[in-house]
Amino acid sequence: MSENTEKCPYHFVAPTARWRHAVAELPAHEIDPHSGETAPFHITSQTKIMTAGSCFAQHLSNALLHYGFDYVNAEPGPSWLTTEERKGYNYGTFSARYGNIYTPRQLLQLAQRSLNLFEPQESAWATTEANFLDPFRPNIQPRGFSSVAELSADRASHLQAVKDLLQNMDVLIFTLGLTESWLSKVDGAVFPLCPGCPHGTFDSNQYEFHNFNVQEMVDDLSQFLKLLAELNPSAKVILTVSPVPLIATMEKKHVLPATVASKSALRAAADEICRKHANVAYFASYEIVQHTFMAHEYFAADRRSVTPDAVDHVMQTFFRFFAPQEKLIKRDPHATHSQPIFVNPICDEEQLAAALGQARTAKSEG
Amino acid sequence: MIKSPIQPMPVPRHVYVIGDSHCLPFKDTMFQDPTSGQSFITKIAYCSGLSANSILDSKGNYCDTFQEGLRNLGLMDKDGKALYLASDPNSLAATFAAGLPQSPPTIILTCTEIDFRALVLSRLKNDHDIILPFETVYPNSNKPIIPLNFILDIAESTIGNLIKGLKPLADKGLSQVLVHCIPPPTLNDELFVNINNYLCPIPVRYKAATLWNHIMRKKCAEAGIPFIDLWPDVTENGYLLPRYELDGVHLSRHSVKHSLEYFTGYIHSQRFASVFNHVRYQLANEHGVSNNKESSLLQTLRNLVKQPDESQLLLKAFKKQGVVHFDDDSMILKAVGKLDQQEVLREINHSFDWRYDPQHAPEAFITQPPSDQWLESVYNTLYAEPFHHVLSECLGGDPIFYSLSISTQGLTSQSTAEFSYPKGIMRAIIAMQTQTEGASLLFKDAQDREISVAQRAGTLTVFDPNRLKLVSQTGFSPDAPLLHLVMGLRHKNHPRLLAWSPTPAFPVDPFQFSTTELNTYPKMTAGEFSVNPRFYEHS
Repeated sequence: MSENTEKCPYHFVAPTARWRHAVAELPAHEIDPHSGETAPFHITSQTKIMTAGSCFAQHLSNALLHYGFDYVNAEPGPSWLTTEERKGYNYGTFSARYGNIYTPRQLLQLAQRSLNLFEPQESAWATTEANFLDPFRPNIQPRGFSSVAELSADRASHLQAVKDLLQNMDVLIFTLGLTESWLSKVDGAVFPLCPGCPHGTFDSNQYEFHNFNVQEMVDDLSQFLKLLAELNPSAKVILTVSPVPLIATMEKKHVLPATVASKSALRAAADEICRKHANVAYFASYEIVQHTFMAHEYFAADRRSVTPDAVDHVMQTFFRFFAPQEKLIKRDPHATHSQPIFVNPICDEEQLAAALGQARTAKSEG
Repeated sequence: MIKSPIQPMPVPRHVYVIGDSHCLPFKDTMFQDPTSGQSFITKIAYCSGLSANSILDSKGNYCDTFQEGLRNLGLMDKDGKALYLASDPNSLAATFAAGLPQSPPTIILTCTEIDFRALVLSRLKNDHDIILPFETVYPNSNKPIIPLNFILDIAESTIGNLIKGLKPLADKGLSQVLVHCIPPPTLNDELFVNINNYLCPIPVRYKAATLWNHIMRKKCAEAGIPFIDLWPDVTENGYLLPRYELDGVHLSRHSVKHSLEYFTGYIHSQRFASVFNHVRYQLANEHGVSNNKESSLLQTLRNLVKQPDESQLLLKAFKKQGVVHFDDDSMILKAVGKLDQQEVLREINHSFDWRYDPQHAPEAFITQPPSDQWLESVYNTLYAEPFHHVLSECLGGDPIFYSLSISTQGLTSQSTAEFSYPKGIMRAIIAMQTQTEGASLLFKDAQDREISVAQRAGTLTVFDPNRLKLVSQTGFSPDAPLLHLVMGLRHKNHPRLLAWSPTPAFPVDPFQFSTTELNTYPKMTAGEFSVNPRFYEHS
């Protein structure tokens, strides 16, 4: 055997690339999927940060606010609102009042709508209380809007705020949540919730189920990044995948493999996008919560909601990775508008659970 | 010295205006209702700073300023009791001497404008706009809109407090309250800013005020409270006319005319509705009970009449449910069937001597009185057995029929306002004709439980209007009206009587009601029926 024989390439990989060092030998709460890695860009307290995505994204925005980062809120709402009203009307839940954005297609269509490149035909859902809901953010405010005119005016103002946001933010943190979606058969508009569950009316002639595959999501994210580059050439994006499992699947399979398939596709799409775009970074929320073997500590009794400990692990890792030079100082908890580190997120998908609960009750009563 | 005879003026009725500073322009305004000729005078009580959110304190009592206002107007005594309901001999004699009906005073309440500015305009300022859920002439601005729900919630809650605040008034007997709208805002921005220390642009403040009044109108309608909206009279193209501008907050005195025009319209609509002299009917009834105890006539009648088993069962049901229906092979139908409906339903122009001012009787359209023979026939049936027995048992003594009227338009909200009837007064309905598939009357009790009473032609249904509310009637022939009876206990100094009232309302006073305007059987003169209430103290 020659002395010049090359060693196995894995001999040279960093300790963090080895399971035993990076995972097995560490206390679970110290596992850092980004240790040994340098973020492609950093954020500071001056960085204008926008968040969007599934309900898990709200944990990110809360933490950013909590530590005094410049979390942009393009629709702050009236100053005289109480904390409860502010939360109920989704002022500050995300950087604008768009509600949960679960899929890349939804994000792309939101950007297109804000730039007048797309206008879905479906514009309002009437409620039984003679109010009107925005089909693309049905839970944005309690009881919906008092008239179609009010809804339209609010939507126009909202989309303008989204456009301003995309133009002026420095970093967008987008949490990829789902691949399963409901689309309009007329124009392909994506709804955050299945129509009729419970808002709107389900009609199989109007709506169809669609489970986005990796390539579709890569295409959608690419298109979005192209639009963003035109609007805001210096903008950067952090992609992350929500660790929160599906509430229900429309695939004809168990919800557990459906969840893994969905999250895997999202993760794969994020990976591919990050490889192609220098201004896009990936952050491993999903890995921290799902793969540090802390299921009992990181998930609540419903095995779906994440716990404050999980959020804390995620955020400490996030700041270590993206803001290593920032001294994290919690805001004065007594100060006005102080943001708690953990809040129960507002989740449109929960409506599905409620609808399922109602259906179950009706069935059992029947 | 030239001595000239005094020309007495008719006694004007008081209209009480109480509330925030918007009541001030109403001060001491005399006016005359052109239809009735009745004169009125407004008396005001300015309750400084009165708002919907402050009218009741945390214990549900009226705030000091409002209580003081009610006392100053002579509407309430220091114990919080409505003065018009006083049944002491002096109070009764005073109204008797004045020839005025002892009826609930009419009150106009001006309130919530302070709430409106403090809770709505101060939030909108020059920062936000709202989109109204109905068509409006006011343009939208480029200011950020805020969810209308915020304003709706504030308005619903605040105006809800006002409506809640009116309930204790009604409970105390001050039930004739009209709520005044908030006025159109000023068009003078400089004045607005000087007063409020902020600007809220004209279209925005008009939209907000329109919405506020919209909610006020809705909440008042739900609570059955008349709402005075003078916007159509004082605005042009939606904005305040210059002659009604005063100081940036209040309207000029010119506006009062329009509010009072609405008020007279309300009075006309109420002409046939109210139970006047509530307290006197109650007093009459109480004395009827005491007299009944001494009445040998009734005792004799009871002994003479063999109570049929069916009747006993019906009476048991009446005590339990507050309603009983009864017919005896359509004996009543035979009596009432002789009524010439076409003739009776013909309207005539008639003067009442017991409306407002006996000296200046207003005219009104009423239905033609029935023939004397018909009244006699009904009288004889109602005062004969077995009906007399049933009615006496329901009332607790010998009846007097204060009013028999005819209804062709079904049961209106006025005729079903049973819960405000004097205690002890009973009502009855006689079906003249029902449809072949059957008819029924539907009642609801205080617990909202439904009681359906089947009807056929000739059925006499007696019910206690203080226990049951008549909510609907089905299956009656549209061309065959229902007859309505209002009855109480007969005082021993009153004869047995069946009075035909041309209206569904009561005669004005059970001690002195007009018999020249009411057809009665037996025929009576006014003098025969007028009894000084003081008399009861000694009887």
